[in-house]
Amino acid sequence: MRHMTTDEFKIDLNLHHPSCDPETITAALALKPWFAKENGDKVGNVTHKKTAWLCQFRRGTFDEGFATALEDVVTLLSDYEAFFAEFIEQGGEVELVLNSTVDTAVEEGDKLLELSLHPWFLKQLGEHGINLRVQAWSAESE
Amino acid sequence: MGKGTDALRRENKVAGDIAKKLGADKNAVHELLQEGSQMEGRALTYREGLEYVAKALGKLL
Repeated sequence: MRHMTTDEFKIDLNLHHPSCDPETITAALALKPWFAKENGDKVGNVTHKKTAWLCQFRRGTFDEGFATALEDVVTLLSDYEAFFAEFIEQGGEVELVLNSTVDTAVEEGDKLLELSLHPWFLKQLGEHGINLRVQAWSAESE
Repeated sequence: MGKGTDALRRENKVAGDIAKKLGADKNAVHELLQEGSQMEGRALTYREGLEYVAKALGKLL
């Protein structure tokens, strides 16, 4: 992973489950996580009380690729609808994280972020029981 | 639910210090701190976070 530059977005897909083997998720979705731990795994002094599977799904710039990336999210949810439904029914949680950079070289009162999401996209998330987290980051100076 | 300014400032401080110490990406450090905190049911201290992130990213302390 690397830090984000101005006008860059990143979409993460994070899954948590009471007991699922992370490799099962990787195989089912054909996506590679950057971090995966199973319930009971110890990291330092922290014992994972559930399975965690964190994946960077898409990244790009807002001018190019953001709309396509959102379409890819919906396609993923649609293609693997049965998997997500069963995953959530078993107590799992699916979270989509929209990361955006903001230019911090601004004046007082300036707008830092505007993110408009179409109801069609939000409906897909809602119908599939997907949580949405939106995060804004200060951009890496270029 | 969102995080308040104080919580974000604290997270930024801890994540920034850990990222600098480990030479790690800040985004990843934030995500891992969130992960570790979720598992512990509370925010990790700097020491706990450093150990957790270092192990998770395979970095030597």
